Amino acid sequence: MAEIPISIAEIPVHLLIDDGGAAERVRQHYAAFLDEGGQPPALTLSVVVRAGARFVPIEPGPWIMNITHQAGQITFESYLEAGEADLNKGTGQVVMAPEGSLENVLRVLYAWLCLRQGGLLLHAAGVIRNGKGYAFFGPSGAGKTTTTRLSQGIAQTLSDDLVIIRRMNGRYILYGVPFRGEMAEAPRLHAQAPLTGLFRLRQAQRHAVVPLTPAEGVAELVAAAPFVVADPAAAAELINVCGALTAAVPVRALHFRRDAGFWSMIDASV
Amino acid sequence: MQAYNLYPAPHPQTAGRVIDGEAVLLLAETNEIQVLNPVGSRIFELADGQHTLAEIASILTEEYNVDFHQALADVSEFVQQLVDSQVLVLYDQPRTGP
Repeated sequence: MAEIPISIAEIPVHLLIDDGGAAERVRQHYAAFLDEGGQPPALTLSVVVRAGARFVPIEPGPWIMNITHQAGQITFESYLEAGEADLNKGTGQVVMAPEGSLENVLRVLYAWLCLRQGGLLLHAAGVIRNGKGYAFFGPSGAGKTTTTRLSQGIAQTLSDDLVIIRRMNGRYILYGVPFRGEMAEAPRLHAQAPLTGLFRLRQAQRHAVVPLTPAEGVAELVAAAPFVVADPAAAAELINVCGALTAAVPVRALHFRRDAGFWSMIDASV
Repeated sequence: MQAYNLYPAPHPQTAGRVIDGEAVLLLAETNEIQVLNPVGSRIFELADGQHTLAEIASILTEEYNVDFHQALADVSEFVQQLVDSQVLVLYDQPRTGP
């Protein structure tokens, strides 16, 4: 049994993997996020690798992850991986096929772990510029990868798809995550910066930064938070977390065209 | 029972919060998100299981200086829309809990 401690957004998770080959692949994939701090884990996840494991029929169509949640008890099931976690006890189990991956399992679990700690896993591009963190969020096709590419040479890329935002010591911090987006060359940095700008992306003919009302900002953030709207209690908690975030870092709409000129609008707005 | 004596209250599958006068609603079953305008948000705020439709209309009559009968008609129509979209439920008795 290999024990692999990782830490994403300062939330430690220990992976106990019963297969040497799978453990080595996980160790390499999350090399930048291995936790050497010795912090007690928020979750210890036992991983059983089982040849031939299948849970959801593989058919053409959108990627499927069936999730249930009730008072900290989560079940999840995808094509090649399935399991459960008790976030109150900090334990969980996964069964996966040798060709499976923990990536989507960890996305789901971290989404819930973040929410329980007043944070948010957000569908957003994240960059750091001059020591300040900026998140550009929206659904697929909104322009996350585009704004990330346009920011190269201007800002350090954290991710073109997912970031974590957490309140730490009285301020919100933008964290990089190891999860892949569309941009294969994105480095998936284990880095963080104070969150300075929070922008809902809208493709347009000209650059503009447009304020949103706090309620509009919350609604946009809720829509961009994957996995965690599984029951009314979680939905209420998600709204509260997004409400607290928008009170500290207002959400704005970034109307942008396909050049890096939007940064001058951002610089003028924050 | 007349419809205006019914008590609207949040649907058990809906989470909502009024932020700076605007209600953000999240329907857990469908993941649908709605933001209500200020008057709609005030109605949602008053739809707490403790006020009848008539009482809500009466409050709006004072707050917005509008005719009571028009307010009652508007509140009834709007609440019915929220009932249809599973944001609210109508009860024939006051609600004392979730």
